[in-house]
Amino acid sequence: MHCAVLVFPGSNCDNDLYKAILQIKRATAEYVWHTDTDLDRFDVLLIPGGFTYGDYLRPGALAGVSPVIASVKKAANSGKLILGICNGFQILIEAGLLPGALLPNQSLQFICDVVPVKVVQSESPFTARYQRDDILRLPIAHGSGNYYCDEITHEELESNGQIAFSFPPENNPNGSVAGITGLLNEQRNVLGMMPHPERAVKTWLGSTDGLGLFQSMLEHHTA
Amino acid sequence: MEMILPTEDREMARTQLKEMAEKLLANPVIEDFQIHIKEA
Repeated sequence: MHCAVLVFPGSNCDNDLYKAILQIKRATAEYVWHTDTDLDRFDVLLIPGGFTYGDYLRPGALAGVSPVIASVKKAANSGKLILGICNGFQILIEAGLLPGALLPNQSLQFICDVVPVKVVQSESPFTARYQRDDILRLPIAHGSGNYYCDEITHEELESNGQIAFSFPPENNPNGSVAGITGLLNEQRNVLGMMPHPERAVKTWLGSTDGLGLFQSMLEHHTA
Repeated sequence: MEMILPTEDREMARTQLKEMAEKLLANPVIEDFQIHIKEA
């Protein structure tokens, strides 16, 4: 499984994501600068976290219209797996590949913590290794992870099974609607999530709960 | 937001601004916009 780790001006989690992929046997990764539009050689596209363009205008807004994004959209339509983490989730939303919006955290503070994250949808190429209702311990580090969508969209997301991860109601750090913190597109080949699975792949990082996500992707790809 | 467009054609300016707002400057999920044009 050959993965592209897209790098924009201001991406800063690209290195961690690249290294996380190298933990998975038979997966390889390559950095791709955002002006590169040829992504055909990749099986999977990964959009890392960071502060692309300094969050100018809105987080992910400028990266969302970057040259590489047209190729990301084409890949998404063809069914390739696309994973956006944190700022990557913001970029997928601004690019229109996922519905809704990511607002500033309710507290208006940047939150850096390790939190419980519930697996809501285990039937997806990203979550097949988990069971529904599993609680993962994953790091979060964001200022604008407060997911918003209107009621109609929310109902559609629920009935289509597009909500991948959520914060338990008693522990919702950022005020997201229904605690939503991971979202799939309708075809379930695009996942955006605020928590950082790539920071939970070694025991000495404090959690290995993120490994299942990358392993699921490999298994889906090699099936 | 204020910007100066290199045109004297109000209708073209309005069309361009609407496209800019729809594509990038505003996020239609959470924002709407109004365009006001003034001669520079």
